[in-house]
Parts: sequence; structure tokens; C-alpha cells
Amino acid sequence: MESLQSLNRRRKAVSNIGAITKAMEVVAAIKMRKSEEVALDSRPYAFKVLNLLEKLSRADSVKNVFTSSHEIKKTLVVLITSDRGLIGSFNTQAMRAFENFIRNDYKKSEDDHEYLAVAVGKKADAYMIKRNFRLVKNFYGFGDLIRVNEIDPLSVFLTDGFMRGDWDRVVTISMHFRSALKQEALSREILPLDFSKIRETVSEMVPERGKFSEEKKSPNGFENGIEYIFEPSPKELLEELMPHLLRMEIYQLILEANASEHSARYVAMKSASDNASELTEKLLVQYNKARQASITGEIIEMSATQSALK
Amino acid sequence: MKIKIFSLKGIEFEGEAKSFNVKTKVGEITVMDNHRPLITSLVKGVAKIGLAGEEIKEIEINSGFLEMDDNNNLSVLAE
Repeated sequence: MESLQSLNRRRKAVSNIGAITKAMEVVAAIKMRKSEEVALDSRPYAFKVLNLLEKLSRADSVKNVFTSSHEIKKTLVVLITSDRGLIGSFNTQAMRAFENFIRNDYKKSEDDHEYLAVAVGKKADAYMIKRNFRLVKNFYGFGDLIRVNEIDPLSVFLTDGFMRGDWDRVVTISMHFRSALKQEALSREILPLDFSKIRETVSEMVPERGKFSEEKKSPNGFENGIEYIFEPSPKELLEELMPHLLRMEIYQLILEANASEHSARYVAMKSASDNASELTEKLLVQYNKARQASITGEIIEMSATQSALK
Repeated sequence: MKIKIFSLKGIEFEGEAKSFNVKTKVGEITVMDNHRPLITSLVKGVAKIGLAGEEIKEIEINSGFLEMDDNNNLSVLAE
């Protein structure tokens, strides 16, 4: 049987860990609420952005550098994870989705096709290095409450590289926030613009029921593309509009990933604190039993000595 | 026509309107019912939504884009 001291030490250690995870749980709960609010508030905007992108990709008059579909030789995969750990299976899920994507991608079998990667979040970075993947660039510090201009480095990097021809396709892999208890890893092709891909994204993002479910309905009226008037001129406007729309699309991805991260951490920390308090209780019972056993033993010894003396 | 004004904080305005007056890159414009499909970029200013009746609702816009589709729906992406 374990000694009283070591049992007591273990109990204290467990309850200390419990106190820490409890504190992290509370912090995560607050961040979860905030990041969830931000992500959900900007969803209508993001849906409109996707809607516009879809319409523009159909309109014949707006063939531009983003819609052009020249041969795909290089694919840039953007893996979005968190900077910090202790989130249960959150990052593993994203990495598994990344593996799946690489394994099942239709371009994989082509010899002259190449994969490049961008890591968002320290965990993704560490993973890419471990896996020996060709990493082009990494980005940190997108967690918590992020403003639109803070992701500019990422969105500018992605669109500029695409325009220069450094890569011919951009795929993002990130966690999507379905609810506080459910997040899933989704991969999305954001460039080149292709309306069927955008439609796919929309249908993946839209909740099955509730507020936005009407967005899921198939688009009507613009099957052949609307002939828009662009002011000041198509070229000028699209040069401004397209990067903006892409930036907002990426921004929304990051927001969803953040909301997912904090909810996942909240859930992980909650179960950790629950386990800690359960274990403390068990150890306390064990400790009390051991203490009682030693007291009983001493009493037996005493009474045995006494009766021997009589 | 139906107007929807989106911002990152949610939907700022949604409803029926007669006209929509706003400042764009090339000058101030007013979009009326059944305007031709149009996409343009907005500059800082106050957008005036002419509601049914004589009412006018004002919304501040810093920058953004306006889209009029072929179904008489006007959407504004505002910052």
C-alpha cells in the first residue's frame, strides 16, 4: 500500500492541476463566447462575399487573372491550426485533413505537379517541419480576436503569389465552426475562382437549418451570368473588388478557425478539470482509508500490548 | 427594391426601399427600382435609404461595394 505522505502529495498535485485547468477553462469560455460572436456576426457578410464571387466567376465579362484556369502545376496548401496546444484533438484533426487531402488529391498522380505549403499557426509550422514538407512561409499570431487588417500579410501573400504564377491553385485546410461542441476540418479551393467550388464552400459552411439555411438553395436567375455595369471601369473596379473579396473570405476562415479553437479548448479543459476533481476525490478516499487503516492498526497494537501485560 | 446592407458586425439594414443614394468613386449616385445590374465601389459618406413614404434612413459608410442584381436586390458590403 502506498504511504500516507505520497498519497497526500499525489492528491495535492492533482488538485493543483485541476485548479490550473479550471482557470484555463474559464479563460477559454470567455474567448469562445467572444470569438464565436465575431465569427457568427460576420457570416452574413461572408456569405454575401461568396455570393458575389460566385456571380463574378460566372459573368463572362470578368475573365481576369483570378478566374483564369491555366494548367495547374503547383498547388499551395494552407494549413490553419492554432498557436498553442492543450486543445484536445483540434490540431490533429486539421493535420489529418491535410494528410487526406494530399493523399486523395486528383493532381497527385501527375508527375510534374508539385505541392507547396503555408503554415498558419505554430502547430502547423512544427508539423510541416517534422513531415519535411516544402514550406513557403508561415504566419503566427492569428489567434484570439483578430482584425481584418491583421490578416493582410496572409491574403496579400496568397493573391500576389497566385498572380505572379508562383502557384496555380490555393487550397486551405481549416477547422469550421459548426457549434460549440462540433467542429470539422474542411478543405477549400479558394483560387482559382470557380463557381462550382464556391457553391461547394457555401453549402459546407451553411448550417443545415436556422438563420442562413436559405442560402443553401441553388442560385436562380444568374445561371448564365449577369451583365453588370462596372463603375468606374471593369478593370479598375475588379482590381479593387477581387482582392477585397478574397481577403474577406480568408478572414472568415480565420475567424471560424479561432472560434473552433476556443470552443475545442473549452471542451478539452472542461473535461480535464472534471477528471481532475474526480481523481482528487478518489485519492482523498484512498488517503482517508489508508489513514484509518493505520489508526486501526495502532489501536490493535495498543490493545494487544495491554492484554499481554495483564 | 430590396436592400440589404452587410457589415462585419452583421446585417445593418434589411428591407424594402424606393431609392438608395450613396457616394461612389465616380460621384454621388441614386439607385432606383429596377436599376440595371451594377457593381461599384463606395467612398466615405452617408448613404440615404428612401423608404416607402417620405421617410429617409441614413447610414454611415466608410468604404465598401454596392451590388445591384437583376432581381431588384441591392446589396451593400460596408465597412
